[in-house]
Amino acid sequence: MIDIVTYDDKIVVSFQQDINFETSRIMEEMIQSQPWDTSHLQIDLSAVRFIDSSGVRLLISWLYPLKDRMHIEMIGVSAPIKNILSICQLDQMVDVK
Amino acid sequence: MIQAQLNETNYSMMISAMLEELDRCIQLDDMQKYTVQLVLWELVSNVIRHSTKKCANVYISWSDETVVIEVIDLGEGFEWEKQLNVRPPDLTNQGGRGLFLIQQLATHFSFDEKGKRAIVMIARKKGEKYD
Repeated sequence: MIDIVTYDDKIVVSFQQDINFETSRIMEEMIQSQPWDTSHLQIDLSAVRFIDSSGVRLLISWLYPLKDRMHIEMIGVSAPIKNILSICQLDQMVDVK
Repeated sequence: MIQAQLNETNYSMMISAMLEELDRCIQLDDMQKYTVQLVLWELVSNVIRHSTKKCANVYISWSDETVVIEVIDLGEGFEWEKQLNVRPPDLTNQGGRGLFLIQQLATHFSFDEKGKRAIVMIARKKGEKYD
C-alpha cells in the first residue's frame, strides 16, 4: 500500500494505490506510526491515479505539521491530481513536480 | 444511460464498473474522466458515511455537451445547506473538501430540498457553463 525507504539524506514514501475513502484510513495508520525524522521527504505518486477528498485530508493532516521542519516534494504527479492539489492549496506547502 | 445501486459493500467495485462502461460509451479527456470519478466517490462516500440507509441509486447520462450524474440517497437525505457555498477550507482544516471539490470542477451542482437527490453536470467541451 505504501513503501517507505529511509536514506542518509531523505525518506522516500511511495504510494502504491489510489488514495481514497476506501484506502486512506489504513494508509493514515501506517503514516502516523512513523517518526519522520528527516530534512527531506520525497513522496512518489507515480502509481497513484486518483485522490479524493479523503486522500487530500490524509496528505494535509500528515504534511502540514511537517512543512516547517523539512523540504517536502511530490514526484510522479499526474495532471488531474496536480489540479486537485492546487485547488486544495497543497502546492503551497509542497514542491509538486 | 448507466445506472446502478451502490451500498457500503459494493461501492468501490461498482464505481469502477460504471467508469469502465462510461469509457466504452463516450470519449472524455483525462480531466473529465477524473472529475466523473471524483464526483462519484465524493457523493457516494458521503451517503455511505452519513445516510441512514448507506445506499444510493446512481444514474449517469450524457449529451454531446455534458455528462450528468444523479445520486439519490435512499436514506433520509443530507443537510447540504450547511456544506455548500461555504468558504474554501484552508490548510489548517483537515477535512471538508469533498463538496467543495465538486463545486470547483463541475459546471452545475445542486441538491433537492430534502438533500436526497444530487445532480452534477460536467462539461464535455472546455469552458462551457450550464448554470
